[in-house]
Amino acid sequence: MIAFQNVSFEYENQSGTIHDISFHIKKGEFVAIIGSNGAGKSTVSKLTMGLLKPLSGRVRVAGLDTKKTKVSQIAAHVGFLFQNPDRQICQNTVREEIGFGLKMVSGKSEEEIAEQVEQILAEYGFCGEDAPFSLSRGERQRVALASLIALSPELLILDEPTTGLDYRECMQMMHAIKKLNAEGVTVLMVCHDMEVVLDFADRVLIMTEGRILADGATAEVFRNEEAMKAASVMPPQMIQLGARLGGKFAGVNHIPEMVALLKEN
Amino acid sequence: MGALDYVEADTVFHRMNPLTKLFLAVMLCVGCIITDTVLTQTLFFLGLLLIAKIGHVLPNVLSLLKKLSVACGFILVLQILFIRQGNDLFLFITDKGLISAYIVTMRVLNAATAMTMVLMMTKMTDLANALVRNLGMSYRYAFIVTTAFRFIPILTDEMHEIMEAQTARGVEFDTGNPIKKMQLVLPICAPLLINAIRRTDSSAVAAETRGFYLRTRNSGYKEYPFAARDLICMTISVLLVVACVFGNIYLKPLPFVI
Repeated sequence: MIAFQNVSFEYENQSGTIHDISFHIKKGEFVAIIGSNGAGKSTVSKLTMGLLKPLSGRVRVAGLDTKKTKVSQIAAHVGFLFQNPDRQICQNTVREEIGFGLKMVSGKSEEEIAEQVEQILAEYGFCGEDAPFSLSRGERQRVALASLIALSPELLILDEPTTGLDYRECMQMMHAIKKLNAEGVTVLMVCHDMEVVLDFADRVLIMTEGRILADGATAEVFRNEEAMKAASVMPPQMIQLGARLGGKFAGVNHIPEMVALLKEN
Repeated sequence: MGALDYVEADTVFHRMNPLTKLFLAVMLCVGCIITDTVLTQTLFFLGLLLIAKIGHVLPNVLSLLKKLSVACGFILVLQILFIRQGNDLFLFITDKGLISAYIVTMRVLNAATAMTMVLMMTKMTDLANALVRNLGMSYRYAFIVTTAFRFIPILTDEMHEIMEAQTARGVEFDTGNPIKKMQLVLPICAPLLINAIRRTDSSAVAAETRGFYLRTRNSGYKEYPFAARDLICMTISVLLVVACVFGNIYLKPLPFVI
């Protein structure tokens, strides 16, 4: 689904430079990219979407070479949820907002679009006549997500989707995304919240200073102390607790497992 | 580099009082508007480049000229198309059309460069302080002037980010068709306006909580006392405008002046 081959990219006078990175993401995977600020995480997500073109190397997404394909064409296959949903929202009502992308990209008739929009409104519990900018931050984020899901993307790129959300809104958002992933949508998520990454992502890439330090299953990467330290990232609390307790506790990832083990002992 | 970014340096222009630089820029603009010959507009342009060189802002000015080149090219073409007086040179292009196009284009370029150079060589806070301390302007109004300039690059960046977000949704901002591009402006207007209003609101609250209304005439930290260089600069500016007026009356009718 996503293939980075020896990709390098440089900004003028800004951090986020990428140095010769390569990785593959298969269809249906849920991959999180973690690292400190300026590591290049958002740069990777924008290179994937084609918003940035690599200076060297090649990026292929859903079979398309991003250097040779327009972003608006890539958008037919890939949904990008920005950190600030206000940048994506441009219509007067939630109904029009969700239908906006469908009108731009899908080529469907007005009736088909209207039917699909009503389905999504019902699924997400939105009122179609609400003004998007009058909703709370979390609800605006969900509207932005819904407007991307309406296009049935093969790949969803999320740039820090939980920023500014309270716990309830965060869980609503992530469960909706996990459900899409279970239905076969590939997810690439940039995230600073390690607890969310541990609970939802199957695979993690750690980045620092434009390079990939580690790439593997989520819990495994979180237990790679050297890579985590080099990237200035703290693993989730349960992983830290398991590491300190050692022994049979070292492999525990979640609270129920830890509680069960502690009760046994 | 942004056209409105301050360039840190220690030159005679940087040491001048901000009001002197503003006065010089205004006088240069007036001079550009008054003069009506190819020679004087070219001399103005070269003079501005010299000031930029002395003020260590030449790379920024050249970057600005590059950005203005498309708009100036547009003005040039329009002038050539609509002014048909004089002798025909090629198809519909006449000598008077060419001269007029050059003068109008250079006027725009010179005026924009003069005003922008003030911002390149003056910090916004120093300009605001000078307006309050030396001109007696209320800080509220001085703040409005400087904040308007400060927000231009911020809103420009915001617009690019919104265009990026909309392109990622399938809006074809990456089209090569300029007419189609203009039609697509609407999807960026709503988020840009709302974000600008939100930003203004939160900036106002932030300023208020940091003592905005406690400010007095002497609250500014840095001073730029008027010195001989300021007087010389202002005198030269006034003489320049006078020279432009006399040039228009006595030099322009001469046969070798176009």
